[in-house]
Amino acid sequence: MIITVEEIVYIYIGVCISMLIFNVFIIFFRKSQYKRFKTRTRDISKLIDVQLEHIARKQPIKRTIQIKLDKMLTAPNKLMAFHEAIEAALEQDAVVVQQYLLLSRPLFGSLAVKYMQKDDIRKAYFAYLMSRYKVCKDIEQDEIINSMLQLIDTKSAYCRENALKALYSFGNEKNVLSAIMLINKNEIFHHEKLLSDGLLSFEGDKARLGALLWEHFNEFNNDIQVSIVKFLHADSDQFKEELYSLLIRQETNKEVKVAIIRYFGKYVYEPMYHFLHTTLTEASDDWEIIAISATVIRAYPTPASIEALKIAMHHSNWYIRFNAAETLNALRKNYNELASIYNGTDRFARDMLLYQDQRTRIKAQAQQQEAVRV
Amino acid sequence: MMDSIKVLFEYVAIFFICYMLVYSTFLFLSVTVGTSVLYKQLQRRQMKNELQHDYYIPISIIVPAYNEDVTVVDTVISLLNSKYQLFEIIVVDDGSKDNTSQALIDYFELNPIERPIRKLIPCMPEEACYLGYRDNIQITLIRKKNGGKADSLNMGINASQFPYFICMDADSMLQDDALEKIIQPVLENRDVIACGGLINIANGVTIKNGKVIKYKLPNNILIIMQALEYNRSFLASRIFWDQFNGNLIISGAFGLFRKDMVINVGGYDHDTLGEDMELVVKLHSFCRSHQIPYSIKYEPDAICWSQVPETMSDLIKQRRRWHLGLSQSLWKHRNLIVNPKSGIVGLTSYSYFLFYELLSPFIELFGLLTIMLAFSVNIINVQFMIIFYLIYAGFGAILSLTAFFARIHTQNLKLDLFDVLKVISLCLLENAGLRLVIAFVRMTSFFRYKKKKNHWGEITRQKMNIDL
Repeated sequence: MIITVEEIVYIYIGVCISMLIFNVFIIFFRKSQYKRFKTRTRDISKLIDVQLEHIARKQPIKRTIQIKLDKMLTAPNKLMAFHEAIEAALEQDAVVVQQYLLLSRPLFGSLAVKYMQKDDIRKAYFAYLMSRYKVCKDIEQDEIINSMLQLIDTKSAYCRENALKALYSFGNEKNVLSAIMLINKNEIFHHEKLLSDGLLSFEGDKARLGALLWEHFNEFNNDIQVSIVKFLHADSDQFKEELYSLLIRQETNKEVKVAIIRYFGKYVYEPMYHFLHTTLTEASDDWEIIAISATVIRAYPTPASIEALKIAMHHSNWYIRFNAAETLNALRKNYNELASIYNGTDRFARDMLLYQDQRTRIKAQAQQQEAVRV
Repeated sequence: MMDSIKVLFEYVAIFFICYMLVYSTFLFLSVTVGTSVLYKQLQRRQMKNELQHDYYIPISIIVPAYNEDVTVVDTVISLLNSKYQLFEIIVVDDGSKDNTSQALIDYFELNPIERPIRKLIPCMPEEACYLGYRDNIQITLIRKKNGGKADSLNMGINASQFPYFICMDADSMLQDDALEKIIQPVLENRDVIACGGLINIANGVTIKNGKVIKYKLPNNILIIMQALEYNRSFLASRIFWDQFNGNLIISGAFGLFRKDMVINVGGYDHDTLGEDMELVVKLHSFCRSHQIPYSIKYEPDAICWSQVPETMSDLIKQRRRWHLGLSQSLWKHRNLIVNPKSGIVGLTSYSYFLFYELLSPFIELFGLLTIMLAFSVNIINVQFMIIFYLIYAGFGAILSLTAFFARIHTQNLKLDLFDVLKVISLCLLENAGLRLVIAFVRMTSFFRYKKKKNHWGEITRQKMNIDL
């Protein structure tokens, strides 16, 4: 079949007209969508208000309304309107609304099954709402929790993240462990930063979560191990012994070691004196370990530490010199104590020390000015 | 003789029909895909599909500046308004002849400091360094010998502390959520080594605390036409290429890069005018040839407001620079088109940029010459030609409008009726007029190659509408 030039022109005209129609359609569709959203929100608010009144009067909520909502909220647009209505109600009386949400767990359980059949954007939205509403607080087994765990194994990072947030907000450590086990088993990439920050938002007993994660620590890949150590770093000084024994093990991954050394920057542990001094003074190829040790040693301010830092100041690696100089300044060592560097022949060490000294002063001055401004 | 001319014209016609068909299809696909991605992104935002955390990955923001005393302070202020918590700002003054450095020193109360800078990639030596803090954010100013924009960016990379850096222009402003949006692809995929943000035209826009409070199209028709062009040619096509990791450009006005990868490829190239494109093409080439898994992303939710030329002479200067940069980048990495390892990048992206960007002015000139020849021997259907041209220009104009309004809707910007009328009335002129002017500029850009080498694209800056 041969297409003539005229036919091509007609095709062009057709495409132009379709695009024009598309543009006009989108403009009007979005305007009407907004109006409909406002109407829906009002309608749903009325239903919610009835239930809130029942709760305020200590009466059971109306089953018919819940059944109606179950049917309505299957549509994502209506679920969004429900969300808008709940957010507005939360501003009025958070306690009663939270009670209503907890009583609506069967409704959300039924919706969870339906939303798991939808696309990733909608699944993630449902998970987000669960993280906001915390309807499974302190519950171990439930349809909603199963759905959240199901979402961990999806391609979408948003589904996974929102499902994790929901599990953190429910506050059950066993479910969080199950989620992380799934990530580990299926070799799913979930950024270490998201994981460690997320664990910190856990709303249950963090000590119990820490203990449970530690129990399974060796089963996890290095990325997850780093996240767990960061979580422990922020929250618990109960793992000094365990982490130290992991640190001195040769086969431990370098990133994990770095995270552990940071942990000991916050929680001082006697055997770390020796570890840090040895790391800073003995030759090694692991510059990352030496660099972080040069920072962490400020939590162990002894004359021996200062001497170790002075040695590190002559290291060929830029980051090690940078951190060592920063620590020496943080420890506020005076000119006499550091004279060997200031008057020495190593220009790199001297320049770095001078820079960190000036930097500390400028920062302190800026903080003072900021305080005055405030 | 006449017969052979007719045969020649038949071949020319076949060539142009194929050429235009491919281009129109690309344009149509890019606008359709771009528009649908923008609406999908809007739906994502509305349905809370976001990776929101208080503490993200730390970022170094590098702002190269040359004679930018009018705008540089506003740019730094816009950065300080960011919601992002972990970043440092490094302004590199490339030996400005105006008061760029002094404006920063005075406004941010910067102090001189003897700073050792590790030169991992080559750049001109520093003359002075200054340091200050605002809201605990470190602001570094490095004044160095003039060496061009690429050289300044390399200096910034050398001085940066963090594993990711952002390059941005000194006449640009970031929206308050731009940093947290541009880092999201990195959180989603470990292979992301670079990510470009969306460049919107700042002329006429008022920004307060990193948020747009007034969006008004200026009366200058050149700016409105550029706004249409930006949405059709840059926004839509970059979203399209992004679908298969084929973007060859991350605008120098706003892009995020993984520092170790950029250092591995030797940083920005001093000898190329389009250092931003050259770096991205080099990253593709490097990763492909070393079989490193990588992804170069485009994030239209990460928004940067940047000034565009307000006069034709400034626009000509800018486009000349861009076209020379394009030709240098493509020539330097020509191995991409012949190397089987290049995959989709070589096959589609490189070929597109070669035939539809670099060579298009020459092909268009060839088209014009054949029309003139056909006219002289009276074998042209003038009526058909005019209709065809008008339909083609109309096609482009409608696609421009589609992309423009899609952006306006999805970014929740409001246009008044007068602005809508301005856009509709100018879209045809942009397609039938400005495009031809730019094609001519691109064609003649090579004549001034030597003179332009290593220079900053100097355009007249205006004070930005930033409400403090």
